[in-house]
Amino acid sequence: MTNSAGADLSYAEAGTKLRNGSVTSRLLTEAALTRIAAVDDKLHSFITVTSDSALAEADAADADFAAGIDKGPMQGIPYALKDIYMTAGVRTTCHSKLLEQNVPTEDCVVATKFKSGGAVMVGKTATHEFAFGGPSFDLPFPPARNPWHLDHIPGGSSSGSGAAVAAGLVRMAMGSDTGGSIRGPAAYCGTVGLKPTYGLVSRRGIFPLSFTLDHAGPLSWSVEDTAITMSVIAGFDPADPASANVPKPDFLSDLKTGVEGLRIAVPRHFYEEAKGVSDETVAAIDASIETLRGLGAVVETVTLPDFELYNATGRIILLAEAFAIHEKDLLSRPLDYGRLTFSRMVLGGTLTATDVTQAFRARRKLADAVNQDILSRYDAIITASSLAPAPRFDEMTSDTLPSWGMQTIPFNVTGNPALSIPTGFSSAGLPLSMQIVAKPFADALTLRIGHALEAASGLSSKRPELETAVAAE
Amino acid sequence: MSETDTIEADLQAIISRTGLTIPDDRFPAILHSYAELRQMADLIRTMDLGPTDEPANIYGFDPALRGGTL
Repeated sequence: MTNSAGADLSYAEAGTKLRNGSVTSRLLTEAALTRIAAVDDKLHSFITVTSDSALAEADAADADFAAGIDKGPMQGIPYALKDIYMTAGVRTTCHSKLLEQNVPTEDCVVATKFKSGGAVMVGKTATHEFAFGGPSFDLPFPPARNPWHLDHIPGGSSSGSGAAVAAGLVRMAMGSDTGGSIRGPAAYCGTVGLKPTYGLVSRRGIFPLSFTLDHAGPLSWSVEDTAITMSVIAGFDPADPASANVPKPDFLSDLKTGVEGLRIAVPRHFYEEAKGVSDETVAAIDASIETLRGLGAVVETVTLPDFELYNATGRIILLAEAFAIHEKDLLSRPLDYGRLTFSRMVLGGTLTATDVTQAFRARRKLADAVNQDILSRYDAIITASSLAPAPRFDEMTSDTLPSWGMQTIPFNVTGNPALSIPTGFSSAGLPLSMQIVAKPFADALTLRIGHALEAASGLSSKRPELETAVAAE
Repeated sequence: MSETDTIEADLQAIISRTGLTIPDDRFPAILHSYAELRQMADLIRTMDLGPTDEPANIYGFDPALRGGTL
């Protein structure tokens, strides 16, 4: 086992070794905890590390293996949760002073599924405050840093999850995605990040940012890890009003069947005409498109409505719903919010009822443009995730609405599954990315395409030299 | 009154109505973002939305009933 905490073992490999007795859950868990202790005082990816309970869960998993009890593909495997996922008896802060001492009494549904599946939670990861603010230095905990270059942001809001996975502290960490908060850190940190179809993974027990845009999903080292995670967490939850009462998809059977014959649409205008797009990002997407063509896919250029319509629609809905959730605290204890969170979140209070209703009417039309106009003729859409590599912390100086050059929010507006996947590296050694979008509940198809690209590129084997960066500080 | 002044007065009135307390040093950034947000709201109004174009979050009984709230 290398120094990346057992993260060099895929979930499938770890599952095999756990079952044939060549590795134990305790060994995997101790390795993860050791590496977290070694690097996380510089990386800041975790808010809370649950060493004692993790080792207890690991021992329980090992005992189950010994007794022939198999609870599923993540039994005995370490993972982490973004610190907006409620965890019984474990502090859940939302990275905020407002909830600094919050210890829930119940688990969120996702945590319950991991627990019943025998997985081992090693801790709670850093986020932007309430999954919204930005990389901030005026909160109770420092912001996570990008393991590829510690002076750069890891993206957000699932910042700690992206950093922890890229650094090899865990193979998978859960994030949430309201405007790109899974795919953004996945893009900046060079991991895989899936925003599942809206309603496929229960949101119940996850602190909300925007009821109609929030999605829960994994950031993982590989596409296969993502597929295995989804097989554990997906499913109908009748107590989540947004949960879809559909059969649980099979994420694994077709994963490695390739892309031959698939029809893929590319709305090039989305990213080529966007402000701040880097030549390296476009070139890496073009190279991925050629790879797909070489593997037998048909790739054609299409036109979608103006990206800014999706952006405006998503922003207005997000701000309105976030303000509604936080209105009481924004009025009664405004200075307990971080500066960025407050300055951005209060904007939701300026919107009129008509602004919000028009945005919801636009949303239906914009979703139709993706699903009726494009995905009725194509199997998937490819576009950029981020328009450029991760910026430096000292470039993030504004209190204004974030404009990070992400192309992610359209698929929060539409609810389609969207997978961010690495496409290469910039000349400065920072990850580049793109996203793969499919029809609602065709999440497995995004994974199938992503797996084909991942296998062709070999990018999942490249990881940051974090020890060197940490030692240099 | 210039357009900028109008937007600032508009924001001040909204803040007053909502009861929010905005620290002075944060007001310029919020004003900047407010102007951006108004442009976004205006952009959406350029879409061709007729009287029968319904919102995406239209109320339905299925989720309400299964959640046990009705």
